Amino acid sequence: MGGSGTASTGLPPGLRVDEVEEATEAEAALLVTQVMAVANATHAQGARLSFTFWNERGALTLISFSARGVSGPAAAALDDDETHDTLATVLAEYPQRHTGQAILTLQREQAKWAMDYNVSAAPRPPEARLLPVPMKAFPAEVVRDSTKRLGKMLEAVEVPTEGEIWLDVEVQLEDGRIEGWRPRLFQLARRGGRPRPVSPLLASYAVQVLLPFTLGVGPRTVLVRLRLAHRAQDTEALGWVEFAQIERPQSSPETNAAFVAEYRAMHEYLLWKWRYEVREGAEWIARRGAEEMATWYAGGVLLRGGGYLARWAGSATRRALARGGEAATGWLRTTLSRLPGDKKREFEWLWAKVQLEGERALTAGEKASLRGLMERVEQLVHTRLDIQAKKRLRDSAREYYKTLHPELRQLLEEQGAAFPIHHRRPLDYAQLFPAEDINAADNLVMVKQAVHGHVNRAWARFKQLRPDPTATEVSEAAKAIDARFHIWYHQAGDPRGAALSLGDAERAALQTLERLFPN
Amino acid sequence: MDVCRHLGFALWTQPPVHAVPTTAELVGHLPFDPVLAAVYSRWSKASFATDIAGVVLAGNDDSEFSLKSQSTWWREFHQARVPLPLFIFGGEPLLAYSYATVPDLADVQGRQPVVHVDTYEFEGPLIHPVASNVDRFFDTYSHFLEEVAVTPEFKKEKEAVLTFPWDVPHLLARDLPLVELLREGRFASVLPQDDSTQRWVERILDIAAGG
Repeated sequence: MGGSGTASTGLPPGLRVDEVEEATEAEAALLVTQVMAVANATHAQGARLSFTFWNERGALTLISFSARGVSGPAAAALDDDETHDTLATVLAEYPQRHTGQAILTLQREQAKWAMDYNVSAAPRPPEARLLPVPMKAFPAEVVRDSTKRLGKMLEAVEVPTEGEIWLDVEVQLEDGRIEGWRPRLFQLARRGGRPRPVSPLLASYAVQVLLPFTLGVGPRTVLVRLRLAHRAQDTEALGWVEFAQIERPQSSPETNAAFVAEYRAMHEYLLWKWRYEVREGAEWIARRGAEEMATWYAGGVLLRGGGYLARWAGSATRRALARGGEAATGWLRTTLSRLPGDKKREFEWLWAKVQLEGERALTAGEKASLRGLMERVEQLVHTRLDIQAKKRLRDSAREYYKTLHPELRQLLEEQGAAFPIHHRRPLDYAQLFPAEDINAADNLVMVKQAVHGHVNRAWARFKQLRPDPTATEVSEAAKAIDARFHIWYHQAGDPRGAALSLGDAERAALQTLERLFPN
Repeated sequence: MDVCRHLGFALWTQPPVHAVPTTAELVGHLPFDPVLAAVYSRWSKASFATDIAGVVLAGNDDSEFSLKSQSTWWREFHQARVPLPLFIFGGEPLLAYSYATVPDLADVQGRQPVVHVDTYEFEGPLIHPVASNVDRFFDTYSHFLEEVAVTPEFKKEKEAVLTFPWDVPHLLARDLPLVELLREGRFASVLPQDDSTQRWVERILDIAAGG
């Protein structure tokens, strides 16, 4: 017991083993209650309920549900306590033994539910959680609102006397929030007489099936198929959930899967802190720096920002963030450093709100601000940098370079100004590479002042030869200049074995540029 | 120095190793700024706030970053493209931005204005005035550091989100002799003609005029 998250426990830093154990117990108890609620509404002998979970050390994310044989003749009454105890044992103990997909099956026999827990091979679904949730019950307002929404939808449905229909309903989920309901398909399975209303009990039952799906993370849709049948002796049609399953949004082929997985893990962790540590969690998130949260912001904008950039087909923002990793986080860091401080803070605050509370939590004014900021970011990277913007980016480049080379601290204090940072692909051409991080580590080199002077003369010549170059021409020029000067890069002293002097290197670079870009 | 100590920023000084230089030794005919002479009588070299942005004074010594090496570098690469002679006395750590005095614009006491020199641009250095003399330069820079220290980003992440001198026209506007030099167009021959410079200078003048 005790101890905090480490590589050996596999938990994120800051989470204690004992709090995760407590959450695992709470989650098992919550799911027992939920499965019991579904089972108790099913009385037919031979009925078979299947719950397919992704299990991650007791974090059970429901990915599908199905019910078969539920319209048959009723079985005898059974002992609820015995069912509860068996289910509690299964859900508390079996998931501890593996990670992966598990199918919990309940088969209604004459006087009991027979249970089976099977592990099967399957890829990890994107909505699967890594952490158990310390919830004792689903939020009352979620249960109430969902029952009301589905009930309203079912009020519009009628079933022919002694007839049967099925109805598919889409439920849009984002993390633990239900964002929308939509009827998808309605089909008559058996004709009958005059139309009959649907029992209001169906909405409550279907919501019990749906609730465990809300424990997943990320955007997804649950497709719920309702079967509605009318029997001769009843005034209303009854029904049940035939199946419910997750439908996932298609990920764009250029998106970096490892980055998305890293983002999801971080997002889940932040949600966990925010939801379950309430005030402390919110303060904890507020204290985290943009650097530490870079993956969260970059992943959030990539996966949720499409609507804000709808006007920008093939936006640089999307292309940059889809690369994932340092390419994405560095791009966002550099681009945001070009916004005034208050705008940068607003951008981060709005994205934090979208990610923690959902887009619907934004006011109309906040939505307009976020749209404006997203467009401003997109416009910025296509805009030629002025003197002030270059200075800001160089300040950022210096801070980043210092983090890459902490050994330079003394040199920086004593001689710092003699060793300027140089952008191999100059800031003058940043707008030609809008989806690339101009302050990326591989674009930054430290050189002596004299080296910088010679390199700049080469670039000045290029500018004369190509006053309005293309991105390809700039890349070729950078390659030619690097070829002549690279031995002086990142060197505080003179490089060993330099065959050419700096003057010779400059002359050679000028010759190459004049050959590549004739007047 | 007091501001650096008070705010906990890096501060590094070295005792004198050579006599205060004469201009003849460094840049020929130009008079050596009297405030700089006082500075170099105390230290051979110093740097301030290099942990967040900072200023490194060129050493009155034989190091890589010395008054002498800066004069040589400036003459070799840049002076020919600047209509006023400049005397480089410092720079920003890890960036090709220098600080220089302008001997031709010295006041009656011989104190020279200070300019910020950007040697990144391909077409030649960009010169922006930042103080009416070296004393005012350190005063303005110390107020800049104080403003950096109270930003939310600095409090939270030690990140300096303000950029000198662009984000502090209000501090430069307090330097009335500098404002006067700008109004009189004394820097006209070196001031870049780009829009952002024009807007920045107008902002300084507006604030100084009470705008």
